[in-house]
Amino acid sequence: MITVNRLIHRYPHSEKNAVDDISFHIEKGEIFGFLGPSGAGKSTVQNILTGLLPLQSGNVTINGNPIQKRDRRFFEEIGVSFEVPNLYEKLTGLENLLFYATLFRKAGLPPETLMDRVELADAKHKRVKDYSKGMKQRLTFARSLINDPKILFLDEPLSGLDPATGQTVKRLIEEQREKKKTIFLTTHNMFLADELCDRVAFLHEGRIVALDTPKRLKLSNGQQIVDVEYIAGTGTEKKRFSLNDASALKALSDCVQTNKIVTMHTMEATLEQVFIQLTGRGLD
Amino acid sequence: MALLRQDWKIAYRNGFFFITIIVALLYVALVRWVLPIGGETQPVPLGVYDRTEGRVWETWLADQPEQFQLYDSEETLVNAIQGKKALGLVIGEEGWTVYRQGYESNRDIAFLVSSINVLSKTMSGQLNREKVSILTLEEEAPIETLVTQMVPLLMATDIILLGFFFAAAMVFNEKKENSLTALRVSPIPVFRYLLSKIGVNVGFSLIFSVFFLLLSGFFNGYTLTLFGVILLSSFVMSGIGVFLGCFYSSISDFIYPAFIVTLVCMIPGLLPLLSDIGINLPVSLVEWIPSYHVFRETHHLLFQPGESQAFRAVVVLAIESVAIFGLCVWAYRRRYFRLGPSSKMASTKGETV
Amino acid sequence: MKSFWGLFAKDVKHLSREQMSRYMLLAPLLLAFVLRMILPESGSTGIQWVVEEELTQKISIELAQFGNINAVENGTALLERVRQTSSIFGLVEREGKLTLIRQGNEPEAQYQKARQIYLSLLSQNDSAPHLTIVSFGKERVLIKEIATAMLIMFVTSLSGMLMGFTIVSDKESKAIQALAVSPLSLTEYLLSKALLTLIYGVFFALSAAFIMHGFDFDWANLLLLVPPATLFGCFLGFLLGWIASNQNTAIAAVKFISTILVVLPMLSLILPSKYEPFFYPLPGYWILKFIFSTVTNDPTYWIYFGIATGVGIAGCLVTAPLLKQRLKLRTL
Repeated sequence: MITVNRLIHRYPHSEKNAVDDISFHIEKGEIFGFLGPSGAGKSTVQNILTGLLPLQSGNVTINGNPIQKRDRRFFEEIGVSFEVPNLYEKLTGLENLLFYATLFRKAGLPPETLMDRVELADAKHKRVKDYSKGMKQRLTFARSLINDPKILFLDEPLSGLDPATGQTVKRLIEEQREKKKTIFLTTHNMFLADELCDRVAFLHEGRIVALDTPKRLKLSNGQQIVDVEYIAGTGTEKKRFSLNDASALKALSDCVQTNKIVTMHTMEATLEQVFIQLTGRGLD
Repeated sequence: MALLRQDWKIAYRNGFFFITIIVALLYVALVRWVLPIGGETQPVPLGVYDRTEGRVWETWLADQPEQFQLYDSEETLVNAIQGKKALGLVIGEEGWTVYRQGYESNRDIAFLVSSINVLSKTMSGQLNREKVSILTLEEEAPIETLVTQMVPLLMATDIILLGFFFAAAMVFNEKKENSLTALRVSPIPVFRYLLSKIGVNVGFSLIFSVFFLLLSGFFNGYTLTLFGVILLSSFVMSGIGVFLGCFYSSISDFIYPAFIVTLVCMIPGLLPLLSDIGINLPVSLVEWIPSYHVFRETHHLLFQPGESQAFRAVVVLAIESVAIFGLCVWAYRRRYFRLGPSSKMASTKGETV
Repeated sequence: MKSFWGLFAKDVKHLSREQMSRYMLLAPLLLAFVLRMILPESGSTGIQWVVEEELTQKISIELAQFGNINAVENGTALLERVRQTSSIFGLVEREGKLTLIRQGNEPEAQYQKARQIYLSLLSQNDSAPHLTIVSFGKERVLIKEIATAMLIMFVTSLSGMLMGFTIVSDKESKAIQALAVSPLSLTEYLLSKALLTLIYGVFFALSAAFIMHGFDFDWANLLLLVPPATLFGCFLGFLLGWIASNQNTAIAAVKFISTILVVLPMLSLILPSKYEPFFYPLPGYWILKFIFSTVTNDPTYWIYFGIATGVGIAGCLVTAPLLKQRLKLRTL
């Protein structure tokens, strides 16, 4: 659905490319994640795809159409949620959604329903300037769904949200996937990427250093270890067993059979560990 | 000093310095070229046709060609002046006829008629010169022009109001950026914070004054005294701006109080107009308006003779400066710096919060 | 069309909730009231006189036709008044002799006028020639017409500035990014802003003219003002929207824009006509010239209508592409 080929972007007065020759493809109905630290180029890529930045070098097609030929129909079919809320502070939450709905020919969910879905029903008649950061973020996310778009561009959708409301937003994102929407998600939250994304691209200094499903990334780069804690005498003891070694596997089996096991954990790598391994720096 | 440097840098990057210079230059252009032109009087040309026996008037009027244009028939006169900025006069034995365009004020026509009357009496020798008595109270008084009327007004309003608006804008910027919150949890004492804000804006007012007075050619020995008055007045006005900035979050919310402050500052310049419509404000009240002293001392700068009230101005403004600064400290300490190291609560407990 | 009206409704709502905008809505109407109060109905302030109460009864009828009379109790109060107030002349009568009193710092032209009036008072009892006054045109108050033209110029410019503030607000809140990724086109955006300018401009102009003149005004002519005034207002608003990215900068920019494009041309109405060519390069001059010719029913107003409309269109054509670069909205 979205094909990016050899994309390069450099900001004025900058010595380095913010996006340095990247290529990727997003299938229809897929949640595709861009994972990387601040300044990696995630938002730059999103802004190029949505038209907020011009295409300097490379090819980008959406549904086979080059983005240089974007017209009204393209914007009818996309929804964008920004990292920094950009709402009209003098209008209420509901008025913001009602206004934005008038920009589209297609009708999506009614604004009142959207407000309920993002748990802003009680605040819909409050002016946005009185909203907390999390409320503004939820409203920005709700606005991206106002036209029931086919493609969603979500930039840090959980930024500023507490775990409970973050779950609400995640559920809404998953709902969109069930409706076969294509979602381009940029984040530096590895848990979100791990949970939601079908495939993830690691972005570091404008380049893609890895691109695969979260599971395969963790498996190919992580260690396969089991940590076992068992009762020994009056206290407990811990032992680590490798799953790659036959003798270690036998030792594990013996341990489990002969001891009273308290805890047992497999030690898969997290996406952050994989990222650090590949790039030498963390996601923060 | 670090805070002052910081505030100056921020104000400079926000374009305050640029705005100050540009507005000062605009005012210089106004005072040097526009106002003198605007003050030029343009007598309305008067076309005259004399149809009296002997055309006595024509002979007399021909001696004053700059005021009167003579015509040899009424028709020519009417054709020449109709639709133009001019008046016409036909002098006949049976009476006189005045031709007007229609937009002239009745008072101006009345004046024309009275002038004609005087002219008639003068020509016929009927005006008794012994009856004429004119008394001038101050023979040496310099003549009032549009420049001398407007310059004190400009100085008293725009120059010190600049500091008022800029000071408030600086506070609003800090609130919006949340940098005020960062200062609240720093060791900066509140009075230093306030002095820095006010100091930068006093600086802008002084820069404006120097540019304006220097380039307008109003620099003389008294100018330094005037700068002292401007310094104190702008201290008071910047203090008011900072004080009001404490209670509002943006220029937009602040606009009504700002409008009231602006109106009050204009009162000293509008005193003659107010007295014309019967509103006479006592000086003892008006002198507490900071712009009054700038207005008065600028007037003294331009009309060199006469008494300067600079000492009184300094006393009044110094009292106001202390009062407004105290108010600012109280307001900011209460609202923002309450739990900071500079607060009384912290110092009495002997610990840094 | 839906997005066009949606944007318009949003802007109206925004302006009605913004203190600055409410102030800008009230200020011109307040100004119109003040002008109505202070402008003399006679068209000229004339000469200010101060006279003792006793003498007032004798000469007030003759003197009133030349200016305002202030009565005082005695000579001391009269002298103080002459000294304190600028450009006021005193008249006293002692032993049958009428004396004109001046401070000495009055502009020469004013003094000469006062002197002439004084001399005419001295000769008023003598026989005067019979006088007939013929007026070419309808009697009108020029100063009021100048004030009306300036006020209409000011309020229509203000409607453009208000529109500019909505653009600045879109930029400052970064909501313009959200608009840029919607189907809204630049054309729809600008047309919606133009409608805002038109509606506020018409409302202001009608209100200002009504406050100044009541029903004694050619209302049909006022409608002629709409196209060029709206275009000029749009030009100012687009310029403001291009220059400023936040409210503070916008307020500073308004000061510059209004001084150069609105206030400066107004000087052309009060300066001697030989200085008019200096104002030709200013777009606001032609708008004001058109407004003034309309207010005074000048038969050449059609020429100025054409020039003013052309200037307004040119202004919009220059500023619209500049805005396009800043707003990043798609063109069609």
